[in-house]
Amino acid sequence: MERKRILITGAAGFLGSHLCDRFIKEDFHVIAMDNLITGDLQNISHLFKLENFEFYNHDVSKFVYVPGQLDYILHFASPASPIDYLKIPIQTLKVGSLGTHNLLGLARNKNARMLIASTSEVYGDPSVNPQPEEYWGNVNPVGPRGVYDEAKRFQEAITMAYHTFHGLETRIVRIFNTYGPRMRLNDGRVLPAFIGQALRGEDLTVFGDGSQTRSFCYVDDLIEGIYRLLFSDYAQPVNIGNPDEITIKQFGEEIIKLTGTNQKLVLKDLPVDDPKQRRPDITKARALLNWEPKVNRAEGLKITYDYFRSLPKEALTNTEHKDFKIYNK
Amino acid sequence: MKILVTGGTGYIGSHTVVELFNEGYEVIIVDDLSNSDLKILDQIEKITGKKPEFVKLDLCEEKEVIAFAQQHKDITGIIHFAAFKAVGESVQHPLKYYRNNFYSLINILTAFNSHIKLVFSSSCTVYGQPDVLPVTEDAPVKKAESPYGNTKQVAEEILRENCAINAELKVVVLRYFNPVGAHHSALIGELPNGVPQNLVPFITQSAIGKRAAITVYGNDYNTPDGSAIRDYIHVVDLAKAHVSAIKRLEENVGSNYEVFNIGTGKGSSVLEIINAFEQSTGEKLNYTIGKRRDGDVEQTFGDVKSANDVLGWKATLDIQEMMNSAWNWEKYLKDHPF
Repeated sequence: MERKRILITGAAGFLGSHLCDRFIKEDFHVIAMDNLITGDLQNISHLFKLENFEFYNHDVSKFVYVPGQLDYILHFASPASPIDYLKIPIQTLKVGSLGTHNLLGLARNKNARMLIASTSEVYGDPSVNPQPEEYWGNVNPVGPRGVYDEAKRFQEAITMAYHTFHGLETRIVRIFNTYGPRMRLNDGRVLPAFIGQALRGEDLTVFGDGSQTRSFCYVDDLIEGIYRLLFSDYAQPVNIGNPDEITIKQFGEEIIKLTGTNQKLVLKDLPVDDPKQRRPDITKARALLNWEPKVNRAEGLKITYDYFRSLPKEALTNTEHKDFKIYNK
Repeated sequence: MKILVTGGTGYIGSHTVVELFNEGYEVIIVDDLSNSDLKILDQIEKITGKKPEFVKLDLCEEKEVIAFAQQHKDITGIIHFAAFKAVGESVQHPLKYYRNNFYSLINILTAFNSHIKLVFSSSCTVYGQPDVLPVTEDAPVKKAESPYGNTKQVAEEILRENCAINAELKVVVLRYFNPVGAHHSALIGELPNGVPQNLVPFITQSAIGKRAAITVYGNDYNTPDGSAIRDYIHVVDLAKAHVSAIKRLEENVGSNYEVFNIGTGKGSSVLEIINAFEQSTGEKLNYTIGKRRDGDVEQTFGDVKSANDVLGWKATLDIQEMMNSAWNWEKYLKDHPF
């Protein structure tokens, strides 16, 4: 049988690269696309030798052409950490809006099913906890995170419009905090930030009083959820995340325990519009996809910690990920 | 069998593409067109009936090269011509030469994961003025006279060192002597950029009226007629040597790093070439005697026994055919300017 062909955008990123691995494992022909603004070829270079893997260095905000048949498109291209999208806000808006539009057009043209990576950020700073898919969100459109949140909200809107108006097969996954190997130590998120500080022997920085909560999903669980959603018949948004909630303060203490160091937690001011709580209601995923997270935090953190420890020393001290200067014209 | 020809719209590259097609290979060309013309693709099609696949690509852009390699997994061999090659310019702009000639090679090795059959175009300049003539492949590599020459020497080392640690990388290095002439169809040939630095294009341009009299640089060398001696090789013979090299790599015999001289094995002096051109074409040439040029060696010609015996390749076209084809090409260019 001919291999099914899947286009994965953002393929050199954290989630995109894990999706590449998964679909290669499932014997798909994977067409990986990334413009490498925040992605890193190291995440996928182990796949280069495979004949059922291709890589395109392309910005999906511009017209996307892929030769041949396409069965599935996974749109995972976007800067996803606040420190990145604050530096390249316009590219962030464009990849969510224009990029999604281009890919929806491609999906229509190829008669492919398209799954978009949405986010718990569409809920903004939520006034209900946990967040079910029916919650409409509490987002400040002109706040610093608005460029990401609103791009993703628009992305959901246009995807749904293509579904209802054109009858395109679409899937929307709302991804909650996810962690695991290939995250960047310096991506500004709390988990790699804590581990990085622990590995460098620094105190762990907590923003605010540490009472805000997060829930962390291990990447393999997330990928399994996405895989099941893609092959489901459900076009409405589905939360995928781990409902196991923890305060940042507790989390910091867990990291200190894991790394066996004797650092302290130090408190700093909370950034603007930082959500105070975030926890998925995964009733739908359980019912529709028969999915729930399998990897507990202790297990996942251990694997992730081992990954960060295996990185070369420079990675520990690198504060700047990429030089975004060329985008500031 | 799909062969990637970098610099495939250039002088030697385009002739090699024709010979690859003649031998039934599929060809994909990449070129940044910095010193060549896309029209060459049509010319190749006129000769062979086949238009090569073409991708415009700057081989110095690592990510682009990786992406290219990832999208073309059917490539089974590479002939790497793409390089800057003007000796004089390299002295003026060494960084430009080191950047271009090294980045491109390194990126190709990186992108193709070093698991590839590669033919590399090197030059007899690595020998400088040889101590023993004809010069064999194991003659010592002499200190390069220019950054251009140095890029060829170091590129050979880069390849040799990588072959030493990676048995899956298979390389044939061809050290060309002096390529001249053009395809007998006169549809492709050399397109010198500005005033030709090499003798034969200068001769043909002078004969057609584009240039004034030819200068013979030095008539006081220790040679029979006093002018410098080179081993001129017909570009079509040279192109065929690349096909032989690809076949050698496919046979998978011998070491994974081999070097061959590609020449006729016979030296001709500048004055002999001028004479041969006049004899073959019936055109009269004007020339004056000038001073020796910096960096020119007195005489060099290759021992091509290894190419004959091991590679199974032999030059077949003589000086008359070199001169006639070069002249026909020059005349074609006059009526069909690029």
